[in-house]
Amino acid sequence: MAQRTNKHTGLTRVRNVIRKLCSTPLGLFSVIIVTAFFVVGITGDWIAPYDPIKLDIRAKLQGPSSAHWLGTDQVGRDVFSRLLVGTKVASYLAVTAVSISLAIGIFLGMIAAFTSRWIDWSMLLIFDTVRSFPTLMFALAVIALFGPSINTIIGIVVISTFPSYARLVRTQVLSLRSMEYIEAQRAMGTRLPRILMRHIFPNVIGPVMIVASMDIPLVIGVEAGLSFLGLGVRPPTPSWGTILNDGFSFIRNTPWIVISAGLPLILTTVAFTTLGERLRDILDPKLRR
Amino acid sequence: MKINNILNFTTRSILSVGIAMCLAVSVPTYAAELKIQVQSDFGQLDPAFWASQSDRNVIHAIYPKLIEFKSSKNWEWQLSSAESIEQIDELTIKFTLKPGLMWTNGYGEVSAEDVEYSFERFLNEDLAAPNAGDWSPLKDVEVLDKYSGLIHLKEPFAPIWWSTLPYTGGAILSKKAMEEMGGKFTTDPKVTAGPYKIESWEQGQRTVLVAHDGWNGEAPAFDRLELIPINDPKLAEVAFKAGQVDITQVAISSVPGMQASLSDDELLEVRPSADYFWLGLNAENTNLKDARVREAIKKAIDVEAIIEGAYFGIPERSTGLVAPGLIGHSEEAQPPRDVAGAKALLADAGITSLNLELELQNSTDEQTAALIIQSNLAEIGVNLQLNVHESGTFWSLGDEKGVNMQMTLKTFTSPPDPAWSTQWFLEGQAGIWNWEWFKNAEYEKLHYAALSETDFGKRAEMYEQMQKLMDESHSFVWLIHPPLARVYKSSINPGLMPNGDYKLQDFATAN
Repeated sequence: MAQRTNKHTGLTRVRNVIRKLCSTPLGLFSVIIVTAFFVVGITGDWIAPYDPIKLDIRAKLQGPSSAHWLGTDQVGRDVFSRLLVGTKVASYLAVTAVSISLAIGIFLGMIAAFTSRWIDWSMLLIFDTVRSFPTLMFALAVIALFGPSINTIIGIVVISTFPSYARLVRTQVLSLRSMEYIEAQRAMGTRLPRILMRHIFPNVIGPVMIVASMDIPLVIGVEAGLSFLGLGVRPPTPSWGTILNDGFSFIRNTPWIVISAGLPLILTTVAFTTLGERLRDILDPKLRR
Repeated sequence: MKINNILNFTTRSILSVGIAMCLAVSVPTYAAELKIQVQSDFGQLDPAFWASQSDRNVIHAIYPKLIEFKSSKNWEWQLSSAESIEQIDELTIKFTLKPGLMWTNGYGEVSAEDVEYSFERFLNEDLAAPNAGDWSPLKDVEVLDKYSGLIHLKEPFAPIWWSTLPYTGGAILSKKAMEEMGGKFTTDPKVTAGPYKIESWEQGQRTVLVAHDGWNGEAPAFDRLELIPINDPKLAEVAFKAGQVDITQVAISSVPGMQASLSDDELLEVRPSADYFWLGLNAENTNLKDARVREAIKKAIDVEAIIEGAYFGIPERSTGLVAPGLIGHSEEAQPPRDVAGAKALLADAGITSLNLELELQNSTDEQTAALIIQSNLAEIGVNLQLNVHESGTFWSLGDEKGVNMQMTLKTFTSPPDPAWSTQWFLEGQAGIWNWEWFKNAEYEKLHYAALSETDFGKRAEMYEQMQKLMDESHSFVWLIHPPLARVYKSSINPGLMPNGDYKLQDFATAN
């Protein structure tokens, strides 16, 4: 019964957040775009009308038509199909990289907050050192060492972003640690892992998720940027960056290729950033006051 | 207030008119001027050290040469500063300069001593000239009198008539000026004697060449040329359309669109260069050691699709290493695509699936070609991974990967003599520039024999035979000789070498 009530309360809370998110035009826009991003990311392979890597040289650089909604590229591949499957790559990267980064960040942040001062300081030093790497330079160095691939990009994003989560979690945990109900749990002899998972984690996850939602455009941007430079996703796998790269050389005569990949990139970036800001407005009690 | 305004206006007007009059008096006017797009600024005007096409363009225009290439579609040379030149025997060439050719800045007349100095300095070990190979068989130059001399060779050297005397190696420098400069310079030659001289150079902005009044050959049609470096062909096209330049290189991808939209006063010309673009297969690599595998790959690749997809169907399919118009060019067409034959060869070699890697640079043309190759090879069960590199990383792969290199897409540039191309595939070049690790004793023998062969016909046969040997190795899939496209105002008749390089002194007004 108690569990059902908890679930009910949780669902109501989510519904409330969504309702509040959708109450403004910008919020509604971000929810629609973000939902579309993930839906297309999951279903891209099935809904793509053509094989996104199949070449048809005779049909190259065709304009938008009923057969090819967004035209074809320089080797006759359907740009719309490549865009859909490219969304799958972008969403896979975003979800995987941010999830791994979050997991590492939360784990290390909690350890830093609950461990000895010496280890805490050492960990802080590592977080700040890693955070100080210029992302693009770091990415180029890693790619030079390991070669371009989706896994390399995930690695770059994880290393670049986990210190931010770890620092945020550490700060949150430090403020929660001295709360009376946590002290009470410790006095009652509750084990640290249980305190962390049942009492600390639920209070920390909200702010971290807000930051994570704002980091998703960064991941998408890093992938698109590296793939645009020919250093990201390996051909023939479609991605927004490779579509931009393919279209850039023909931008004067066939601009639709660049527009097709550029527009979703801009919309998604704006949508995730707006969503993060709206979530922060709704969930952050200080701002709410 | 109004009086002040009137006074200000009057003062400004008088000043403006005055400045305009001063400018009109001080700026020289030229009978005919031309603005020419070049891919980059020149960086080295010493013929023993030049490195880029832009260096070459200026070197051809500002230094005199005994002979020069004609501005035409075929590689043919003609007398330039020489009144006569003849090969007396296999090891001796006699030349006589036209009298009256003057150096700039009052350095007197061009003489046989200048020729002697200019050619022999390539042999100076202290100079360590990267282009010393142009004159490697030179023994010495003997001065007979003020205008005549004998070029003595250590061994017969056929390329002297194609890639040395009429090319950059044949440029004549002023002995006196060079000695004053310590025998070396980079961008300021101080003294020149070609059809044009450098009037000014704003690094990265423009180079202004003006006709040299001490030139004793046919005077160039244009008194003043402005060379404007614009690296990106797409930007250069915009500059041409805006009237900022009179002639420019255009990207091959722009050719079809440009052909369709040319106005009445614009002309477009596409020429194959002597350069060669090919897919190389490393015969020493474990996965490619079996010649049947290499032959299967060769058969599976749709070269026509690459030409259509990456080069808009503009260039012809290459028949071999040597470009059309050069001695030794093979007319024999490469066999058409044969997927069934490729599959049969792989089956014969006992291979059902194979993973390979292709190294390429990050240009659009190469990436498009690589995508087509990847798709072609997938049809015969070869899974090809494309490794895209920026230029610097790509050219260091030979050292880095050695025999582990599998497949590469490459373009090599070539002067107008096949010897400069065949030398890269000698055994000693394996792993350095010969990334195919091609080794063939007969090829080596023919290469050195062709260098000394002065009979045109016999030499051509030798190069054709060498290309056959390369084909039989199945390590080379010849794709194209990359074309060079230029668009220009119909009011001019551009001076162009057969490979599309500028010959600036031959620019003329169209009739």
